Amino acid sequence: MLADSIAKLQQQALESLAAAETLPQLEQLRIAYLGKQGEITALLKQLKQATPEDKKIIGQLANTAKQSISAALLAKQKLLQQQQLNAQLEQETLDVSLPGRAQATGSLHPVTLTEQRVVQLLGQLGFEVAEGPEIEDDYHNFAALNIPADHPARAMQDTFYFDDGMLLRTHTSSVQVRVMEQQTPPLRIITPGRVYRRDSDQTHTPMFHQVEGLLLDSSTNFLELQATLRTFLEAFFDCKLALRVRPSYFPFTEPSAEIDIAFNRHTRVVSAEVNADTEWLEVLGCGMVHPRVLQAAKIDPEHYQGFAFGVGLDRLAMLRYGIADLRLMFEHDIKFLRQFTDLEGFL
Amino acid sequence: MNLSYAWLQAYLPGLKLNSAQAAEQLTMLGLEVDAILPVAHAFTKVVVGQIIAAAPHPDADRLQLCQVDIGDADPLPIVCGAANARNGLKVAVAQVGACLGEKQDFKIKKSKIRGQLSQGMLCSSEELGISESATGILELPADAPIGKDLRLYLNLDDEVLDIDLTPNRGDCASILGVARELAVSQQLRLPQPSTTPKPPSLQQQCAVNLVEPSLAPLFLTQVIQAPAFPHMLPVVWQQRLLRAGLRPVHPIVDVLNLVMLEYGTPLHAYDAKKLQGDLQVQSAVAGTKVTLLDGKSYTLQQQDLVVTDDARVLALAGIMGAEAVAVDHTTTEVVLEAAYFSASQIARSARAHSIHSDSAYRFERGVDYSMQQQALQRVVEMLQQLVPEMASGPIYEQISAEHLPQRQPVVLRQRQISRLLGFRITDKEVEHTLTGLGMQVQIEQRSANPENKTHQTGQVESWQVIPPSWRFDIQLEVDILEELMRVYGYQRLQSVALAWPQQIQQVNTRRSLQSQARCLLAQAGFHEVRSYAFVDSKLNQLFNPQHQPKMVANPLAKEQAAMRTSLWPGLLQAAQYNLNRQHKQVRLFELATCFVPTTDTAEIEQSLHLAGVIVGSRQPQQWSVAEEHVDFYDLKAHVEALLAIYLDAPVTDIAYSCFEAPGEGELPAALHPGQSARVMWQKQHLGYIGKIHPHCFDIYDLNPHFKDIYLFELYLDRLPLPPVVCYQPITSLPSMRRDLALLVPESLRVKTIIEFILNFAQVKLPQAKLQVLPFDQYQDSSLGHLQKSLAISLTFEPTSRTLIDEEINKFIQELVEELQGSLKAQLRGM
Repeated sequence: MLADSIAKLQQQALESLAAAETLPQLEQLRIAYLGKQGEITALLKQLKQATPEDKKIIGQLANTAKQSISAALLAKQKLLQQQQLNAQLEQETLDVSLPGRAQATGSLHPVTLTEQRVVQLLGQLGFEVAEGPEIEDDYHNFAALNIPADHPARAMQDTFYFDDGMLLRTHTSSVQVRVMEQQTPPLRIITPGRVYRRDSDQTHTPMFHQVEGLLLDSSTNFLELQATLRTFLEAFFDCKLALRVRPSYFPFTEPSAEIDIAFNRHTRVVSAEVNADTEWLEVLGCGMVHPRVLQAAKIDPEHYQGFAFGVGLDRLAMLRYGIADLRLMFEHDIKFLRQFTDLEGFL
Repeated sequence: MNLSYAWLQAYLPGLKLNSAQAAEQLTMLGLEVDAILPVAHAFTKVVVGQIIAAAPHPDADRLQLCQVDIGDADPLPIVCGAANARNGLKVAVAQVGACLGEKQDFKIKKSKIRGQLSQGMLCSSEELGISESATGILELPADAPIGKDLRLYLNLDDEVLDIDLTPNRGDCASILGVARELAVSQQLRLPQPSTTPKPPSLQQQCAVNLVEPSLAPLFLTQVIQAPAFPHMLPVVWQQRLLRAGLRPVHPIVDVLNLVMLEYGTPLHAYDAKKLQGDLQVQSAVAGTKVTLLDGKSYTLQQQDLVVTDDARVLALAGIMGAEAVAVDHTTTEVVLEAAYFSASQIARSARAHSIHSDSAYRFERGVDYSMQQQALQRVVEMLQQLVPEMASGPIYEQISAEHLPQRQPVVLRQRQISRLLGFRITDKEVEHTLTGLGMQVQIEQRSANPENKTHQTGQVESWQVIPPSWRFDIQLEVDILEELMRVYGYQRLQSVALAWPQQIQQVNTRRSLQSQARCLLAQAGFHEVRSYAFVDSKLNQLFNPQHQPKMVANPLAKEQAAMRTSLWPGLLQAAQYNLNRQHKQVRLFELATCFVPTTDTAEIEQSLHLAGVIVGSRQPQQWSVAEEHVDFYDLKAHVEALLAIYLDAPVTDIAYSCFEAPGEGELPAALHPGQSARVMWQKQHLGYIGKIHPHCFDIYDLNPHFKDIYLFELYLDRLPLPPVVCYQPITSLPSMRRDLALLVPESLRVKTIIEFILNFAQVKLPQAKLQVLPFDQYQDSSLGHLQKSLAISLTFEPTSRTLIDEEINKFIQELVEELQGSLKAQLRGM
């Protein structure tokens, strides 16, 4: 009799559980069947009046029923929880194709990026950065560099003057003079900075940027100058280059040279081979430091020698990034500026 | 400098190079050839013709119908529109089938022009590519041979070398000079200039007095006479002049120019009939006015050197002659001048008057002082070819030998060659090269021969080298080394490996901080600009009224004259440029030198500034964020982040608005007085931040659409280098937080409240480290006039033991009472 009730109850409970659709319903069923006031408990209470034998058999039956209902309840609970989570996940689905929440991205000026690259590359050869004033005196910009007052080389560099005789430096070589006055060889320095010449047209701006290098020791010769600059230029452009070193003239170096790199006139890209499409492009001026420049800095040219070189940072930047018009550098157009986001060498 | 390559070849007969090879050679010798220019288009079928009849076209006002003889049986009928087409004229005739134009794409056909048959075209020099522009058809000399191919007649297969001479190589500003270089590198014999003058047929001399022998140590004159001089040069000479970029003006002047081009010796001619008395070469009388050959009037200064006669100034010596004594087509008697003037004298004087003449160009670079006689003889010889009956007088010569440039021997040491250049050049090659360049070379010292111990046959240790009269750039041993390497050939130099001792560089902290600052700004959306250091003084004044900027004396434009004392003028212009081009979010910065006058001295401090501007949207336009505009606190966040690179001070410490701290100095007039501040740190003024003042919009002509422009500027040189981070022990004890909502007087600054709380905590709760952060502030009418609501959080971090609620609650209670009592700040309930 009691056994029948148990079987019926189990049957009924399992059916209800199977029909339950929500977790609250399931909780109600748990209370109804397995709770303290639940039906299984009520059945078990009736056992008190049964015989010990019946107690044993019925007890077992009741326990089995209880376990089976609990197991079914648990399984159903898991199922419903899973369904609920699935529903929640589905509801939370985003359109992942929408763009990310954007922050503004800025940029560094191509000349800054180029300067950093040059400083880092030459730094590996032991060249340290030195800086100096942009408003200079005649002595440091000209006289100490073997450019006396009526020298025709002054006409090569149209100079901005001030009423007191000071001037805007026409090259960063002036910094070399200041370093030589304060330090003794061996020296390896580079001097990046702004320079000014009174010139403005398609290929000239009245302000532009240079980096000059100076190396002084007791033995460095012209062949080493050539090797250093080849190493540097190939590292800068990150490829083998065809170079042409040809004689030139600078008052502050002797012998002097200019270095041209081979450039394909159609693709406008530097190249390692020389052929019919080659155009030579001047990138760098250099030479052995003139003895008069050393003497002006009270350095004995019989004991010390070395080389100096100068390169236009704007020119290098234009070549590296394929910029055709120098004036873009100083027009501040965000459409131009925002292209230089790589921050290379800064991070 | 432009030179006809055919002329060069004629001068150096052994030269076997084509123009491109010669150009490469010259470039590698240090005479950079910028371009090889054709002297005409590559046309064919153009011949010399003569107009034998010219009649007006019956149906066109401006056309003529010409009959042109080109040597064929019948003359060609050709319709021509040029006004100078006239009977008897020798012309360039493009025959039917000729192809003209730069690309030979203009074909001459037999045609009818307004009903008249035309069999060819009379060409202008422009149509033939001989000159860039022309009026009318090309007029050929009367002796031009009819029927001759024009290419042959004018040698139009010639090319022009455009050589970019460096200032030390004035000696190469001539055919002779360039030929000398090629002769050395090609191992050719250079023909020595030689002339065979007729003996003088005149008595006349023109005496000269050298008043300033140090400036004019050599002066030669010669008188020539002819019943008349011709009007035109032979066509070959004319072409040489034109190809050098000189225009024929007068046959005498033209011949002087040709000789200058050939030898590099500037020459001058005076009409003898216009002279009075002897010549004097002397300093000018200050204030004298003279009109020179360029037609311009010049006021002379005492430092100018002039050639005068008894009456007037005849020439600005070595630079340009006076118009009044110039030769013209009535001239029959001429005084020729060949002189040597001091290079620096000519440079100074020509620059002072801004005169660029071919003569000054050569003199200021140094002219061979041994060629003047030769040059005069060459002039006479050439003129006598033109006018066989021309008579010439003896050369009158004044020389102050002691004032001529002196050629000192230079010692060249063989070991110095390898020491400085890095490779050896044999004794024989040294001597051969230097001799070829015109130097006198003598062995100074030999080392002992190890075999017989005598010095006679040992290795050369050194030479004595005397440079030639045409070289002004050989004074030191290195100058000779360069000559050796130049001729040896830079292209022959070996590549070597670098073998330097390595040393580790010191980190340049200032530069690395600048890089960090740049990076920080770039990552915050700023674009870096680089603007000119000279700005409009009006704008600079606006941003920096207390400083009078240093002014460039010779600016390119009035708006580029003031050396900036602030980066703001440039940045604002850059921002404006972009705002006018539809950019809605503009953030720019610049890191550059400014030139600030110091207050007590006239000195200029050249200091590094970092400045930025922000305007427009706070974030880029996007789907999830409503558009908001930047404000003061966006700007301040950037500045705080920048300062954190340099300082380890709490960020609340850096700004004081001038409204709140009067007496701290004036704000720049360009800033909004209520939304701007000086950046202060430990009583150091580090810069400014703030909003641009509304009145700037008119002054600056700013786009009124963007009213809210924010700027900052920091003086980087005043910032200290940050110390190395010093680790602070961290605690795992729990911290406690309390929030307070206060109603405070509107004028009370948040900073005052925070400092008050921190001070109070230091006394009352030393066992905790307190952090105070405002997290909300608002004002509205419900709060009453002059009140604002401020919410702040207090985070207590225990230093030694766990804090308990009671001590924090007690502290808060006391704090609230104190805030009310001291600052009139009331608790609003939590």
